[in-house]
Amino acid sequence: MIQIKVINETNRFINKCIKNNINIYNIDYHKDYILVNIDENDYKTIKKLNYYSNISINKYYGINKIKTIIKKYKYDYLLLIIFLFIIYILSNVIVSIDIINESNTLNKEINIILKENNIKKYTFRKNIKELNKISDSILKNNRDILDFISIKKDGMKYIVRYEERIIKKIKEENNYCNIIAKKEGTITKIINTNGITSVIKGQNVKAGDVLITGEIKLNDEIKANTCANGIIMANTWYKVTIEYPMNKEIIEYTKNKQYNLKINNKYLFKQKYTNKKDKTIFKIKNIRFIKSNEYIIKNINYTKEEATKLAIEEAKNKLLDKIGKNNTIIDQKVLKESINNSKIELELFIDVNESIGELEYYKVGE
Amino acid sequence: MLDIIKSYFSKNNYYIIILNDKIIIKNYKSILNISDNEINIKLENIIYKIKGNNLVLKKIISNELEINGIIESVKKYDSNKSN
Repeated sequence: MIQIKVINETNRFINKCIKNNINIYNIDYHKDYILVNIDENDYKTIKKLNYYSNISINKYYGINKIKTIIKKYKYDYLLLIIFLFIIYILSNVIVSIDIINESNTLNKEINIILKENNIKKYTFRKNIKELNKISDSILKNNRDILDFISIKKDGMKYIVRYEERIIKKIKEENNYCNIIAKKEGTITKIINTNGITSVIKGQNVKAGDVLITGEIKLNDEIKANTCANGIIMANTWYKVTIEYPMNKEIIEYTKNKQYNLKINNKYLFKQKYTNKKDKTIFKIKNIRFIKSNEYIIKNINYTKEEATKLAIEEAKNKLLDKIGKNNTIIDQKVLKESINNSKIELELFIDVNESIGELEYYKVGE
Repeated sequence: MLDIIKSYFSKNNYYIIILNDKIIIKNYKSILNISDNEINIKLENIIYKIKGNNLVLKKIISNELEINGIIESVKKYDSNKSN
């Protein structure tokens, strides 16, 4: 059914319709025109019979109405569908992974294990069943380090909780031990939790000197033996040699970026930038939606002072990596410096406050 | 309402339903004339003269028609006699 608008000769129009047995389902009378509901099939006949009237289609009903609406708003609907599709994709993509544990000691390892099991950022989120399967498999393959692991999705992120497996070291009752100095130094702090302290604060010790003994003596007679325990801090010294370049190339990102699709490692659109770093935003099988950030390579020439400062910092960091980050560097002195082939070479004397105690087991009677 | 339903199922050759603001006629033969105040309709051998105000044709479906407006009177004439 359609609604037509008839202007001019409306009475003649009605009479013609009556004479020709054309069904009229409803007539709305207006000042200058009438709105008439008719069968769509009769429209051509009506137009022919009432050539003297100005007739036009005003409205469609039923399926035709839907068809005309779709035709009229096709681009709007298409945009809406694209928008909903994008929203669907975005809401199903994981943007962060939170690893929750009190000690955080295994976070790095857990991160690697999760990546191996395809629990990654910017991938489609998995359902609960899949996540349970993955957490079971991780637990099964890492029994030596994990007691429990759970992966849950919360909005656009995964929350990973785990419990580290604590292997209790059974103290061997028959083993007695001293704490000895592992290197030369001046004692600065003594924390004794078991055994008898053999040194005092400010005393210089050499490598191998007993710091806390396991022998419990009374009037120079050994009454009992134990495994000494405690922390002995001392000032120690290191001689470090380091090379640092006077010229360095650094990467600086510009504000230019390009979005692209990478299908089987081939770019869909032409790459705009030669120097660029790709970041995957999301991935569906072999198709990656990527963001390329342009960068420029800058050549920096350091002055002698700048290079020396940077070299010292690097030397300190390397030393702390070696002896442990819980130790502190008190002071440093440059013993020698020279410039060779655009590199500065430094010989440094570094003063460190570190724990120098290490266990040495012994047997009674030895 | 029941009268309307009953009339739809009755075996009469034609029927006229008069309501406050409309008249429904089934199996009319022809519309003789239409104006705001008067409409003449032929049914078999009878002519019905409907008088009122603001009379308008609302629906014409097969042999059924609906007239809307303020109905003042409906008179019946034998078409043979009037001729």
